[in-house]
Amino acid sequence: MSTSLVRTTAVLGRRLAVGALVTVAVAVGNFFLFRLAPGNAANLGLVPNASPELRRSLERQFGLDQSTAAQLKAYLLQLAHGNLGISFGNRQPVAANLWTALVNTVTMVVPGLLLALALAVLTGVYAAWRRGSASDHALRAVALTMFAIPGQWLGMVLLYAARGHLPAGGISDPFLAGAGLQAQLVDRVQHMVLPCLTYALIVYGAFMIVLRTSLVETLSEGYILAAKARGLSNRLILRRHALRNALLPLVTLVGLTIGTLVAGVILVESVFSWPGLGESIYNAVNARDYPMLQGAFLLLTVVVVLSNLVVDAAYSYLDPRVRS
Amino acid sequence: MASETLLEVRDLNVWLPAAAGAPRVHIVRDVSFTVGRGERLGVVGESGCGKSTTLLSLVGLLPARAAVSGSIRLDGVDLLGGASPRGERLATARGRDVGVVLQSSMNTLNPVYRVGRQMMEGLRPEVRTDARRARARVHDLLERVGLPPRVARAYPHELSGGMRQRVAIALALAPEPKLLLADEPTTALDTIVQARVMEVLDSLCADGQLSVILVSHHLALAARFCDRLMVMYAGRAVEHAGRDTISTRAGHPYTRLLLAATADIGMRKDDVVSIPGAPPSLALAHEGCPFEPRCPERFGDCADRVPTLDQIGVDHHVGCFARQTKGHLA
Amino acid sequence: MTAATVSPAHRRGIGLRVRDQKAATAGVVIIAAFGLLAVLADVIAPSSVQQQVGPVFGRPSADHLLGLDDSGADMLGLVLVGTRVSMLVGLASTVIAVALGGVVGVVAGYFGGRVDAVLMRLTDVFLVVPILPLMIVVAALWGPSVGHAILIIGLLSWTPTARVMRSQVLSTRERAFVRRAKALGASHLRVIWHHVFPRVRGLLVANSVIVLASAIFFEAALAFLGLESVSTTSWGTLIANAFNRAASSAGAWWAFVPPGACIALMVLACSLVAMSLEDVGSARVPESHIFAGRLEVIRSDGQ
Repeated sequence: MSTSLVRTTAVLGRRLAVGALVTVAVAVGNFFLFRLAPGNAANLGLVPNASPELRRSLERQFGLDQSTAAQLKAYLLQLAHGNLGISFGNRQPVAANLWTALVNTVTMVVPGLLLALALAVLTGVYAAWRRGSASDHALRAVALTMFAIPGQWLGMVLLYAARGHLPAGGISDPFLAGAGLQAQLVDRVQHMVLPCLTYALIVYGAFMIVLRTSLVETLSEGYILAAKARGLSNRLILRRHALRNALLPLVTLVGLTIGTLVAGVILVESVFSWPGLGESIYNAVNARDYPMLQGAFLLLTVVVVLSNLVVDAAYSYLDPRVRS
Repeated sequence: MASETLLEVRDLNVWLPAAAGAPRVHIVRDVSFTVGRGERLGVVGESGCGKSTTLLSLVGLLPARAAVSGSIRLDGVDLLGGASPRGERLATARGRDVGVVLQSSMNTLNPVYRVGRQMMEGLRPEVRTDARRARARVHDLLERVGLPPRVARAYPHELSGGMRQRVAIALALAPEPKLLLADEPTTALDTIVQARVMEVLDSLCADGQLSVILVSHHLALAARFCDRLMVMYAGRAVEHAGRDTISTRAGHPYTRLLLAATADIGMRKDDVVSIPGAPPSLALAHEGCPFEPRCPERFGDCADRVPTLDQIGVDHHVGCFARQTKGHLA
Repeated sequence: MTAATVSPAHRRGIGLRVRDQKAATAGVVIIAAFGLLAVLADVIAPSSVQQQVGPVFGRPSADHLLGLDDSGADMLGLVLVGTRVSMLVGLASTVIAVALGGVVGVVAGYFGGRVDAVLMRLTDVFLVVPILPLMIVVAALWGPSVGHAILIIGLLSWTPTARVMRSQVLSTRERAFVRRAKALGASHLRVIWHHVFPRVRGLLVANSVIVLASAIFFEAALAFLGLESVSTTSWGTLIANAFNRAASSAGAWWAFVPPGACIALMVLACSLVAMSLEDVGSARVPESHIFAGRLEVIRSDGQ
């Protein structure tokens, strides 16, 4: 047991090292990207309506009079202290903006993913159980279509369908600030429905297809026949022996497609003006708010790296074979 | 010999689905046999002769769209009968009165659960719900198959092939069955491990309480372990007798070829029975004795009619025109 | 060289085969139809599709089957013309990505050693970096344009292809005919072109369908974020324009449903093609051990 724990730690340690490497690479890449691009740092001082303080802070931040190496060093040093610069948009520190946005993103993504997973398990199990039937074909066609639909478009379709019934965007109604707790809660939930549903539906397709395929393969395994020979009921075999094993490829899929999941966040948040990381990127692009864009990209990279670690840990928890 | 009958199978027929849309294939044809309490029956033949299907149909472990007919009586209860004859009684017997050991080449242990947890699933409810009794029972079962208690804490991938198969036997014994069905339990194992696993099976039957049906393509191995043997070919029983009769006075030409083929492969790992030719496809209709094309003793009648299983000696049944004629002459 | 070099690969069980003929045909037909529309867009659509011909968000009518957009232009014409840009971005960036990924994968797999290690670490990094945000950052800095979109999508979508190609080449590299060719003194380029490439070509084609689907998707995403120039007409910019003018709240479903449906149909077609192919060596999934139906018991005595 202890040796397998050591091995798990070693595997995770190696992943951590790769993740750290990627983060540093993105940080350094960020530095050069924003320096080499046309309309580079020299123009940053010319941000429209920049106050003298902002201009000075920018010049200080970018150390425009120093050598590239010195600038890089200063930049990385600032980064190490969590200083991502000042947003052009609201003149607040980027780090503080991103923190608020990250919290909002998580409140949208987590319920969305859970809903997608629940839907995928329900329909995936049913389709695998009725493999080859008309309902199997129909459920797979729906999943494949969901997989093909662009998130921003699905968001607009749902907005159209729910217009007048649910709020079109934002995270809460500012006019309810003084209202009771219950009214605020209802308002928050109403704002969450469309973004969460859209997000759940666009990630659902791939989840369902992978789960169904792996379940069909699992149902032909020897241990399923053995469980049946032991006299276990179909329901119990399905739940305890088939589903648990069939979830493993789904965990791998989540790990492999975290990048795609992030893309969905950007599109869905943009459609519903959900003030998360995705909308920060949308606004930063439109306002040419480079510090925010840079910071959001870096933060998303760190989020992806950390999510990969979580997925690895989850996989080795679910599959004892990986541990040794 | 005159032991109490535990299992009585009469005119068992099994049809299995072929490819989607194709008609079902008649895999097991009019097979009848009995197993007494504490008796060990061996079912032998080449692969594709219907012996595994015969075995697994006894507890309804058949694929979707399969069909059976005939009667399977366990302790006098017809498992195929009852008010709603859709195999419910087969399912009830499974894992209660009848334990099953599947081919060792199949991964019969779920890789994500510890061995002990999987064994507890098979215990009778009254034992399973009492944690202390359940644990003690698991350790006791492991001991009976010659494994230390710590195996209960192991995951399947941490065990060797031989240990895994012994765990599979312990799993089959968990509900204290009266009958153990073993389908090629040692096929994928190397010879020494094979011998150890057979020893374990042997020790389990020592007190004469457990009946066993062993399916094997290895006649010599089956003859060492079993009291009686049933030889199958193309879905039918072609010879049925005590093991000494089979070893010394085998009646069917197929049995004799099997004996000759398995005699010299004893120590080879990939022990494949080699008789010239191959068993016929059961999906294709054929007249006459199915063994006729490969039979060294075929004559006139063989190509026209299927021989029935007739008694040619004390407790010795053979389905072969050549033998039946000679038997009558003798 | 085609017939002579392809057949041994099939004999040796490498490559792909079509598992689901119907799905594959449907997918190919849809992709080809969009390709044809893209080529013929000018002929079919009226010459000046951007012209205002009626009220903003005019409803679908006999004259304008798909209604009018936020500037009163005919949606049908716009979708037809948009097909051209979307297909161009999709196909051109796919060619770049597949060529780059193919070269990286084949070189890494064929030469192995240090070359392989360096290329694969690079691939690892790109696999972890969230791709759409990276595309957004580059496009935002570089400025919005169709050409930039093609290059950005193409240059950042090669990693999965490289991975797949490398593992396939690795399995080919040690085969007898490759070693024989090397022993006979054939140059690396020659061995790769005549012996390795024909054996991974099928997989490359299958992979390019998947890349095409993601390229179409990325085009729409970049356009939605305003990173394709505003004057461009593509499926992505049509949806973006409809969104910016609040077509959903205005009830003008026709302003965004048709271009989105085109994207979905195109991605679906690519998925159908990709899913209908399978490795020649892969075994069919056997029968489930548990199932819904019960055992059928046939009674001979008519009970």
